[in-house]
Amino acid sequence: MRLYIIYAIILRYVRVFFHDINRLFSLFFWPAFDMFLWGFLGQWVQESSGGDFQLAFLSSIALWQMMLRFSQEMASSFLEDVWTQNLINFFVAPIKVVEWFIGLITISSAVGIAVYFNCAFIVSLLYKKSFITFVYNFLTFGPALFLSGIFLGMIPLILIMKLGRKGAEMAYIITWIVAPFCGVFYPRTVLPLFAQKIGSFLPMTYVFEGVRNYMIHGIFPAKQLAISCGISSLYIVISLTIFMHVFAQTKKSGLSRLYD
Amino acid sequence: MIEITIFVKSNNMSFQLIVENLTKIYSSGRWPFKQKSFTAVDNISFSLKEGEILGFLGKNGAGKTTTIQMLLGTLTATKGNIYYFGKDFFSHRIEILNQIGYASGYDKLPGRLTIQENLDIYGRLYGLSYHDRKSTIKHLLEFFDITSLKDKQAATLSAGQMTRVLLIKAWLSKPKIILLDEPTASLDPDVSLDVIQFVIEQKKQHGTSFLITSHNMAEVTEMCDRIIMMHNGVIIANNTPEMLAQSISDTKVHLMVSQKQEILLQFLKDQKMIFEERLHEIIIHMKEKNIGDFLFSIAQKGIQYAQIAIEPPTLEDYFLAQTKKLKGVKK
Repeated sequence: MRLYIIYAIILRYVRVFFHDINRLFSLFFWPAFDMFLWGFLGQWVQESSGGDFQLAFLSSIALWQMMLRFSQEMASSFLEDVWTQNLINFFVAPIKVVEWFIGLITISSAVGIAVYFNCAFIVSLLYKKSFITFVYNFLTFGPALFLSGIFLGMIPLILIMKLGRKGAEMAYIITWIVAPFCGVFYPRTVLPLFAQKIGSFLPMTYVFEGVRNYMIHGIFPAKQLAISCGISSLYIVISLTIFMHVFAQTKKSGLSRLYD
Repeated sequence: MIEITIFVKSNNMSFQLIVENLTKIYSSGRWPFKQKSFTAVDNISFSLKEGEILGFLGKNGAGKTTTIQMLLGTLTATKGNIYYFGKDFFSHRIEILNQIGYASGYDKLPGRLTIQENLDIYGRLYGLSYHDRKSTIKHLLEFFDITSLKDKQAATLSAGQMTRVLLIKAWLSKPKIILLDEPTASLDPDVSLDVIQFVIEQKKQHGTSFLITSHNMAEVTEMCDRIIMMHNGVIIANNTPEMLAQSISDTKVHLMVSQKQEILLQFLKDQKMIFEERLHEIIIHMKEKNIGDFLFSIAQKGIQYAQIAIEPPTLEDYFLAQTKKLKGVKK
């Protein structure tokens, strides 16, 4: 693995990102919009229920935004090469798949972190919540969610690698499909039994339950974080294996097929 | 691997690329449904020497681009071996790709990045130092006369400008081999000449080998040391452009007739000769050895001509003759 190659890949994604006004806009606008919307809803619920429900709620949403943008950025960066018909140029350069992958995860992580701290800043500004709490939450729950984000981001990558441009729409939808089941906006227990069972297979569910338990009851969710990291690691191995298989299959019909 | 080393030594030549029995079969349909297969490239073998410019000619669907994609590893071959510099491509992929440049008239670069930014990234991917990137990009932008475009976004370029940028990208790391897929497809004639000049210069100065696919016969004749002609995935000819053209014995005689044109036309019809009637001239196809007899015959009939030109066969004639011969021959 060569660091100068990884640096070049990251630099390329950074340059593409900062030239794209829509992606820059979405980095700040949608997280701010969510914080604004859910923040006041949380305030209303808090006033009628007591406890710092609002902080717990907004912490979950900020972490969700981080994971969502992280996984979506993985898909967007890859799609950019498909849309611009640059994929072949890129893959005939002396790049190892692992170097490309590390570059992709690094830039996606940077976007996720930027989104998270943007949310934290807005919450501390609008609702007078402690910024330090958000830093602590990031350090405690962030790593487990990044692992979940890698797995979640792999699904669109596999879809795009398999279907090319045709898979773009589905790639974005798939990251939202998990939202109702993983307990970001409400505890998993309010879901019907079948939905709870689906949630139990998602690694991020344990993190969001942990956040809620910690913020409302003060219980540190060590066990839940460990379960989440374990499931995520397993899913990453499975999804990487599937990705490499799909990549090899796609090369049988040619990478240029993805432009169709 | 051992076989290749022996091959290279026994010929006392430096082969940059050796392709053996390369085959690509596309299959469609999944089990248990009936599978259909299509052979795009059928068991082809060829080699490329150091400093050689090899042209790949053929109609659309002949298998040229499929071959190039397999040579780059973006398409997996069904069968066959590819050796660059005596090393197996599949087990030395990164090492080999570091020494190969590639440009295609069909590819693009990230549209939002400027030309300078795009080229800088590719320079980094090939491990060039800051100084090398800066000086090489500057020199090549000047050579292709697009220095003024360096701060423009790639998306705003015309197809011709984009091709020139991709050629610069291909040459950035000064590779030992450059694969060019239809490099002049979208270029104006004057820019095409620049490309031809560039290719010939790199070959002379650095001993770079080129593998070029093209539809343009004149350009291929001018540039290439050797031509491989493909049809339905099979190599049907592998020789120098001159030898291929000479293998066609048909010559065209251009006559600008000043008197008795009608008699000439009747004579050609009677003799069942192939001819084309143009505005100011008649072009007659015949074997080179028959020209003398033909001119003697028309002189006897009192046919006079103001001008005569004898056009030797070209690579295009060879291509057309081969295509005509193979028309209807389907696999």
